[in-house]
Amino acid sequence: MSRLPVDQQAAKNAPRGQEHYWKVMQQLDCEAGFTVDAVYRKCNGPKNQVRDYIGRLHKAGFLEVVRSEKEGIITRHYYTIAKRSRFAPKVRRDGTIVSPTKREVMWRTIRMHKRVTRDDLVVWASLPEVPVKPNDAQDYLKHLTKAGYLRRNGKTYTLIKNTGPLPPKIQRIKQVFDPNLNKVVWTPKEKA
Amino acid sequence: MALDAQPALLTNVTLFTELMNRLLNTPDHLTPLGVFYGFSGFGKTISATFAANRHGALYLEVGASWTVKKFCQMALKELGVVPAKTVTDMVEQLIETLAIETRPLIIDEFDHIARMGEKSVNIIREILDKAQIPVILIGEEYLPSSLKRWERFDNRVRSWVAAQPASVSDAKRLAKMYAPELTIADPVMEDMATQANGIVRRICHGIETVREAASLKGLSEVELKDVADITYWQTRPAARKH
Repeated sequence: MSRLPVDQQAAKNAPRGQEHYWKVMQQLDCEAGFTVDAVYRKCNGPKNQVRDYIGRLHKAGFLEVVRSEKEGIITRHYYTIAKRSRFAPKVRRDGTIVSPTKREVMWRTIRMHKRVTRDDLVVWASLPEVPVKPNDAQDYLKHLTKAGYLRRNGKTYTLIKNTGPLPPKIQRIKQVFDPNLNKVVWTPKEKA
Repeated sequence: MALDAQPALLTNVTLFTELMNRLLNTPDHLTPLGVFYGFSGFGKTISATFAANRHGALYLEVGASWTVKKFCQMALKELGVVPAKTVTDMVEQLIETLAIETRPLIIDEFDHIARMGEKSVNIIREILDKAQIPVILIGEEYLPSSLKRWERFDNRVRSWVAAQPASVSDAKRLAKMYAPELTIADPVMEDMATQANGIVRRICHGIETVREAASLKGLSEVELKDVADITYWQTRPAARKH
């Protein structure tokens, strides 16, 4: 099953995705622990997705098994949250933590500096594990400008709309979605 | 691209990163609170970006017009929480959410809060104190002396770090970052750094001016004689007479 585009998820208010699973886990968290089933029942996503995410979190040490029940060949684990986090942790299958995306880092840099050029972003928003290339920076700046976040003045872009900490996303259809406002802020005009 | 010019090597960037690391390793019984202060244009915010990006820090810039209420609202927005109506409730919310937060928090332009008056400062102190996450306050040169008025605030600060004026080697690195295609002779950079009085922003202006002049003349190497007739940056316009 493929993931819904982020704007459709928002519109449907579909309770699925890692963000939601994490929220449910935080609600269920108590000393007795919660099971995969308990989380699944409060979500709209496929069960293997929930199980997979819980497995990853357990490996990364965000979850802890408090007790396990054996029922024939099935072992049921009860989890509690060991490491708290406001946002759903992004974890790879092997339990390593995913480094922040380029857009996250670029958005933070833009919000801190207020006025940036493409080269500024290349220098200041590059992490050793995720280097920002001039093209990435240019593309993000272009879309943010179209969506009215930045004003372009020659080479410098000035931040004029600071909506919040989450980076505006550029969807595959080149639409800009703002997770802070939870809505689409710019759509490319249809070609006649 | 310009990636071989590591921004980590700028003096202030190194200082800030060290401060951040020290706070992250603070023992539990102390408040991990740090203050980074310095004159305007020393590149405090830029230095903060580097460490902030590496630790996924939260960043909040205090506005000149803010009240405590606005501070709480903006801080909660930054944390992704819907703010409650009253300051009392928001303070509670802030403490709750910050306590489970693992990322460090950077508050820029803290002078504005220091100017708010005793009660407001105490509210902020209470929030930061109970949160137990690394917090770095960035402010102007006089921030430490204005915080001194409140002993309770003052003694919670674990380390005070002063931003340093840019040195000649900083200027050279900046030139490498912002004008990688240009070779600027050392005497030019020295001249520029002395004239700038250590202000990073001025040096950046200067590098841009030199770059423009060089591209006009079609130079790839800039010597002292090439820049003899240009001013690096415009100083305050002189008063006009007639």
